[in-house]
Amino acid sequence: MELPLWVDAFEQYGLSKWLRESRSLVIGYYPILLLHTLGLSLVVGPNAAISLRLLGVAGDIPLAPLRRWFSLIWFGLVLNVTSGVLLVYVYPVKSLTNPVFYIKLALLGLAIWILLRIKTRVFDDSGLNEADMVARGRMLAVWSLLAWMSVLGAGRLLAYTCHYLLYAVPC
Amino acid sequence: MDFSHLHLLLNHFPVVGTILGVGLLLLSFCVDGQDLRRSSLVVFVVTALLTIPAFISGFGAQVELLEDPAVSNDLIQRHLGSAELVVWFMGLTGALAGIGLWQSGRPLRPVRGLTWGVLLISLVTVALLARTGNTGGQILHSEIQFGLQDTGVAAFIANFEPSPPSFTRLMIASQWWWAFMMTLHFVGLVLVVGTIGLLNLRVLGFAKQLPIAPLNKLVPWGLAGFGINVVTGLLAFIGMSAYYTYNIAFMLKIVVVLLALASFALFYMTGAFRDCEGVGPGGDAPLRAKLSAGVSLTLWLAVIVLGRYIQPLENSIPR
Repeated sequence: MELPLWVDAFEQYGLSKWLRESRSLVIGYYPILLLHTLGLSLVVGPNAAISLRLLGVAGDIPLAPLRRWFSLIWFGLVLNVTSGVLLVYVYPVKSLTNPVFYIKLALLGLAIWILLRIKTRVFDDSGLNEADMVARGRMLAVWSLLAWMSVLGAGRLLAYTCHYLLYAVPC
Repeated sequence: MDFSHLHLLLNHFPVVGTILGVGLLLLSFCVDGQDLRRSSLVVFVVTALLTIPAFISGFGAQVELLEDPAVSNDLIQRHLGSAELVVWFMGLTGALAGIGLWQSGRPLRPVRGLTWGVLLISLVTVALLARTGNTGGQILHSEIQFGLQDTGVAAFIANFEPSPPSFTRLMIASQWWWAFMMTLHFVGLVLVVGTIGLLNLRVLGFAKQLPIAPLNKLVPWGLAGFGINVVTGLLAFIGMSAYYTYNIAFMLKIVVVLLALASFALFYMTGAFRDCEGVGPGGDAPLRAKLSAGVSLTLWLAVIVLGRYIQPLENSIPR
C-alpha cells in the first residue's frame, strides 16, 4: 500500500515524536495508553452494569438512581476521546493504515448512539415506572452489551493486526 | 530473582491445601458441621489462588535449573505438562468452592449437589496434584527417580496431559486468537469494575440514592469476570512465559491481584459489609466499610495500572 506523504509529515511532527520516543511511565505513550484503559473501564463498566440490570440481573436495584452512573460514563468518554486522539497522534501510520481502526470508530459511534438512546428513552423520561423502563430498555441493553464488547474487541485487534508501525516501517 | 526458591516455597500450598480441604469436607459429612464445610471451602479458594503464583514461578525455576547440564529437560517438560493439566482442575475446585461460599449465609436457594461437585473435583485434583508433585520431585531427587517411563495410574493420567511446547505454540500461533483472549481479558476487567468497583464507589458515597444491599447482587458477575481473567491470564502466561516471568509489573500485578481478592474477602468476613448492608437511599456507610471499600478500589486500580505497564517494563527482572 502506498503511504501518503502527509502521514509521514504528521509522524515527524515534534510532539508526536517526543511522545512516541518517551519511555517514561509518567508522560508519553504508555501513560496515555493507561488513561485509555482506565477510561474504557469507566465507560464500559457502568454500561455493562446498567444493561445487566435492564436484563433482569439484581432486579431489586432501583433503576432511576442509576442515572448517577452516567456521569462516570461521560467522564470516561471524555478521557478516552482525548487519550484516543493522542494515541493516533503518537502512532499516526499504525492506526490510520489499519482498516480495523475505522471499524472500531464505526462500532464506537454505534455504541454511543445506543448509549444515548438508553439515556433518553429509559432514564430521562421521569414519568416512567420501573416496568416501563425495563420494557423500553431491554432490547437496547442487549445491543449495548454487544456493541461495547465489539468496540473492546476491535481495540484489542488494533494492537495485533497493524501493517505499518511507522512511515514505511512494517509492524 | 530466585525463582527456584520461590517455586519450592509456593508449590507445597496446592498439595497440602487441597488435601486439607478434602479432609475438612469429608469430616463435615461425618459430624454434619456447617462451619467445617465453610472452612473447607475457604481452604479450597485460598489454595486455588495460591496455585497461581506457584504455577507462574515454575517457569523461572525451569530456566535456572536448566543451567545445570545434569538436569533433564524431559523430566521438567513432563512436570510442566502435568501442571498445565492440574491447574484447571484446581481452578474449578476453587470456583465451585467460591460459589458455595457466596451462597452460604444468604437467603438463596442452594445449588443442588454443589458440595458433592466440590468433593468430586477436589478428589480428582488431589490425584493430579500427586502426579504433579511426584514428577516435580523427580527432577532433582535422584533417590526417587524412576525414569521417564510412567506406569499404572501415572501412565493413565499422562494421557490427558498436554505437550507443553505444543500448548505454548497453540496460544501464540494466531494473532486473532491472542486478540480474542485479550478481548475476553478486558471483558473480565470491565465486569470487575462495573460490579465490585461500583459497589465500592457506592459505599464510599457515590450515587448515594442507591441502596447498598441490592447492588451486592451484581457482585457474582464481577467474580465471573475475575474467573474469565484467571483463565485468559493463565493461557497468556502459557503462551509467553519468559515475557511475563522477567517482568516486574507482571509479578507485582499477581501480588496485587491476590491482595485485592483478600480485601474483597475481608470486606465480607470482617463485618464491613454487614455494617453497611442495611444502608438505604441517601444513607451513609460507616467508616469501617468506607475504609474497606477504599482499599479495595485502590487495589483494583493498581491491578489495571500494573497490567498496562507490563509492556514497557519488558525484561525488567534480570535473568
